[in-house]
Amino acid sequence: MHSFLQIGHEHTASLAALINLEATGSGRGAGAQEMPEEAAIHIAPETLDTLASVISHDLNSPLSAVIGYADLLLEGYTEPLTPSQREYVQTIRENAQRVLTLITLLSDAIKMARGKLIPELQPIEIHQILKQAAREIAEYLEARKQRFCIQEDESVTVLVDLQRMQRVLTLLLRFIAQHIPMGQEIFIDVIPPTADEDMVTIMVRADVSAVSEMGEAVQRRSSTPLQLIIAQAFLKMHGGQLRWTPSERASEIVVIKLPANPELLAAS
Amino acid sequence: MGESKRVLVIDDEPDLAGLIAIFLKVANFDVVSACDGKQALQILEQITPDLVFCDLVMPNMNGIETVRAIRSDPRFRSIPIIMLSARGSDLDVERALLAGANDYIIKPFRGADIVAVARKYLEEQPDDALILANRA
Repeated sequence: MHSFLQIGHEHTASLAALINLEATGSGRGAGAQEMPEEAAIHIAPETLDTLASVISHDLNSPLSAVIGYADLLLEGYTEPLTPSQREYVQTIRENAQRVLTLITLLSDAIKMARGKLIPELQPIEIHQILKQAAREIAEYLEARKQRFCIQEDESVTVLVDLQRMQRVLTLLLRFIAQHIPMGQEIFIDVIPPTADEDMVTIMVRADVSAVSEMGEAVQRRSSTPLQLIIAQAFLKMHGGQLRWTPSERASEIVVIKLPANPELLAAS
Repeated sequence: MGESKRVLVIDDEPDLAGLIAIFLKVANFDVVSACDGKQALQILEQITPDLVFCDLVMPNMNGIETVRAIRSDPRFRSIPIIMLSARGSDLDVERALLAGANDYIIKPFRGADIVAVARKYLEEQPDDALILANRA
């Protein structure tokens, strides 16, 4: 049984392909793109375990050092910093923290896909997660003169691993804010489960021209953004899905589906 | 003022060992560093620390093996040992505590957490393990 990590000219690595570890006749996971055989690297599932372990230790340690020494400077263990020095060190720390979050989620995703880590599911009010995500990137939004407008018609609970889903949605919203032009309002609609579907739908949208510009910017990248790969993987492992939908004629950016809390369904 | 308490820091990452040493020295601890379990055991032939911080994942002799080796020496049975690691699963924590560690800190850590744990074990003698989670 082999998992399949594809590295090719487009440097595309689909974690969804990693998650689906069943070998097909060609040895490729479901959803894999067609790549030249010589460009492919086959990784055995056991090697994925090692990869997850390496990621969580060998990448974590130097990043911990970067964050730690940045804290040394920021918390006054040395001579006082000038305002611009403080700003630069904060930038170093924030970016190191972002990378650390990415690699932690990547490592967790691999472990979950291998059954080595079980998500700690609990019913959570989805607006709580979305508002917390907006709070965590508030400074970034302010700098870009952007605002998230979260629809709050009714309380809707989902069944998720709170800590990890919080990080994933924060990551995703920051990615969206980064690629939407400055000065835009970004709307988040929460649609409760319906009679036809027991999933909660979260739709993120913005002005049509802004979404179009964003879609082009992401399209120009040579690879699928890691944030989207990770978000898709975690949502899939929660029994949900992510559909990235920027196009020229619509205001929709991304549609996320998450399993509703079973108690919510029973009550309805 | 009393004599400074001595802390042994065991970590194969020199930058992280140096970082911990800085935080502890500012808090008036005396710090000795070892780059792995073997060097730590050699150092322990010469000095008796008041507290040990030990990384979990190290080459040659990992943190679990190091803690067991330290605890096997009657001179060091009661020294508080704090395990450090980026790995924070319940299993990792349990293994560390079963090997003889008193507590567990998950990386990345804050300097204040390192100092707080050192003070807690050297000044307050806590009954229960204090697991400090990653605040990221």
